[in-house]
Amino acid sequence: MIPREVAVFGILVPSLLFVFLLSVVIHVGVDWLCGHFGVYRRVWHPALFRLCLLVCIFGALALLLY
Amino acid sequence: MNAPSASAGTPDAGPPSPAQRARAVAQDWIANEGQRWIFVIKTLTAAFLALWIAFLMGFDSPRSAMMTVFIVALPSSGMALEKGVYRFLGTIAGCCAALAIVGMFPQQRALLFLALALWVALCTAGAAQMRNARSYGFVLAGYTACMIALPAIAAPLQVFNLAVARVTEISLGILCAAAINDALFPRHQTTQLVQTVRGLYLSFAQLCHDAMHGRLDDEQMERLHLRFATDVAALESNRSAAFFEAGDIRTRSQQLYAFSAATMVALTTFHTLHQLMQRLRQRGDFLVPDLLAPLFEAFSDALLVTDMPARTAVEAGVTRDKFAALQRRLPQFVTEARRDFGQQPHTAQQQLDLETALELTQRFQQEFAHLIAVYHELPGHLTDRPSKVAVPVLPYSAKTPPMIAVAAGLRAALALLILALAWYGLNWPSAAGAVILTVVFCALASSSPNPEQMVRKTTEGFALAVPFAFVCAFYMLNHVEGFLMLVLSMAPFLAVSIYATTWPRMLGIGTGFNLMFAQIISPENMMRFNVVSFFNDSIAQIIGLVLAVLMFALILPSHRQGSRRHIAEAMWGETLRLCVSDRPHLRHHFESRMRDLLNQLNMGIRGTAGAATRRTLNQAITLLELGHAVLDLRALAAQWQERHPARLAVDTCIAALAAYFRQPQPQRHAQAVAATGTAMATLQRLQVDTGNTLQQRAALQRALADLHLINTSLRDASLQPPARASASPHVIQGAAHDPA
Repeated sequence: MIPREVAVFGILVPSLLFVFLLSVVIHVGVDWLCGHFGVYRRVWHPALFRLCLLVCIFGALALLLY
Repeated sequence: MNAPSASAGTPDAGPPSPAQRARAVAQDWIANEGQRWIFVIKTLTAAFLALWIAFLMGFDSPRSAMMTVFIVALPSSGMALEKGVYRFLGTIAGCCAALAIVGMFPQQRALLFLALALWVALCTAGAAQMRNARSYGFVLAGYTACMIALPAIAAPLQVFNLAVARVTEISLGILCAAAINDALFPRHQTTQLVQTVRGLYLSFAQLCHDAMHGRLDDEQMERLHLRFATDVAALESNRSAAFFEAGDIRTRSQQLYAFSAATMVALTTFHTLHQLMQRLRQRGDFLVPDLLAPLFEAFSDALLVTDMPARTAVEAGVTRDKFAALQRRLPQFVTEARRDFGQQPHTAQQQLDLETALELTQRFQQEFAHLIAVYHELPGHLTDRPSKVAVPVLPYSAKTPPMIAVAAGLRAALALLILALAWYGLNWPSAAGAVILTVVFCALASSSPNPEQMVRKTTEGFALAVPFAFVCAFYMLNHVEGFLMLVLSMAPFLAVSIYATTWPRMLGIGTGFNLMFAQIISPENMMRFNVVSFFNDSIAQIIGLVLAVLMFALILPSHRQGSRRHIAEAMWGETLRLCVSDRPHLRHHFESRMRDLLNQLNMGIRGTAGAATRRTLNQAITLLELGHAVLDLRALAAQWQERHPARLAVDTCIAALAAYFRQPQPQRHAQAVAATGTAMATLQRLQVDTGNTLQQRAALQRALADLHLINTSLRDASLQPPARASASPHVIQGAAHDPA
């Protein structure tokens, strides 16, 4: 359980923003791996697949942390 | 979308031939117009999605999100993502700078403006220096700081809110544009990249084939060199855009760098060989060209797959095998050529020509074999590749001559300061808009070779948008209730102008229209309808653009992208560096810098190239030949002992060359030519010396070939200093302390 908002130097920042940034970082890594191992050659719509990956990672992290 | 399918449904009645014709028409329509309308629908969807979310979240100025979508809307998803990422980074940097500047000088207007001008100058200079998608991030970092700091002058406490709002709105716009562009009917940059790579190889192989058959004259060769430089630059920009797409391009960067580096090197060697043959033929000396004709025949045969060069990387496998076979036959060719040559009466000069040509042929064979290997490997699976490349290949990097970049920075900073003074004097509430817009366009257009035209097109778009925005705002939007009706009343105008942006000639006007339309209608949750501020703002925006054109015309007008004088200076500076610098990767730097300068020269050419431009172009090409010989010579000299007479001779010669490149004057040119002559004589004397091993003789022979090449290049018409020494004073100040 993390609070909804985190104070950074006295500024309230929604903690979901940090979760989002974290999931973007993870997504970049997963994306690189997918490119390296040719996963994108096997999916129908690589861009949509990638977008869904991001949504899944973000959703999973947010659900885990809240 | 639905439009293409409707027209595709028409050809179902009548005899087959009209039906087929109708289908062909429909397919043609889908391929051309259909793609444009898909783009329009994508952009509109993204724009209104961003606007809707901004309304929902209650942002201060939802129009920023919408305008971001229009700015980021580019035909391929890779380009859109790339621009989005750099726009985001630039915005963040600009906001931080604005916060710092306003925080440091909240009460000091003069200091605040000076600090802001300094920041803008740095950012704009950085942008003008790079000329790629990253430069857009720099531009943005500069003008975002203005956008946030200027409205905050009256209320410094608001600056943090302004910055946060700006970042939020921009990121919202970028996210919407990126998601829609990438997921909905994407057009992949990767396809474009594959086309560019194929085109580059095909045109290079065709060039070699045609030149070996003597089908290219000098003028065609010049044009091909320019086009080649443009293609190499396009390859790099395509690669950097495709980097952001889903796929494996990002793991293939090394391969693509290796490909473009290999093509550049091979083209230079080939051109040197070709030029040597041409000079001999022009002199009426056909002995060496005739001897080498069968060798060239074999080369041009190996280049073709059936009746044209390999069109794809898979076909290139055939060429690779042919080149491998050629490599096995090459020593025999060389021995035969030497034997035939020995049987005919010849001079020492011709002997040197033959040896140089043979040396170049072998080098070209190796380089082309390397190129074809890299090309053939490109489509293979990454996991199939044996191992990582041991030596990382450096990227091709575009760099504007520093003086142009500095001038761009100065211009933007001066524009800001002058207009700030005028704003202070005028006391016009809308003037801030004009100041911001002038700075924005001074920065944006500084990477364009024709800034006036770019700004003029945008101005036309802005001016055109005002009446339509007036109709839309004061006759339609004031009757409107709800978001759907807002979309319906704005979309028709925007659809037409987005459609216009898909035509290259209308791009500037269409983009200007979109931005101005969103800017002055300014859709908000609580719409404000104020005719006075509507006209004040629109006049201010247009004045801002006109002032930007004025700034380009008034402040340092000759320092612009593609300026011939600066490019020529940079070229001589690069060649000088070859003679004096000891940095690693000199050859790669030299190749990519020269191609980049050629590309810039090409950007600056409008219509047909003038005599002066063609002279610069020829100089660039000759310097390329010469530069390689200089590098090779220096590498050979480094192998000899410190006090070896050959090394001393070569060092003296290089010093004379460096002196000439530092100051291209007739006297120094004569000295350089004489120095190469002396060095050649010394080396020839050493060669006759019997004490040498076979290896030493080979090194001497190679050095002689290099010296011979340098000598002939120096005597080339393009490198002869002009009769009037003052006509082109290439006194290079920048070269001595050239930034690394």
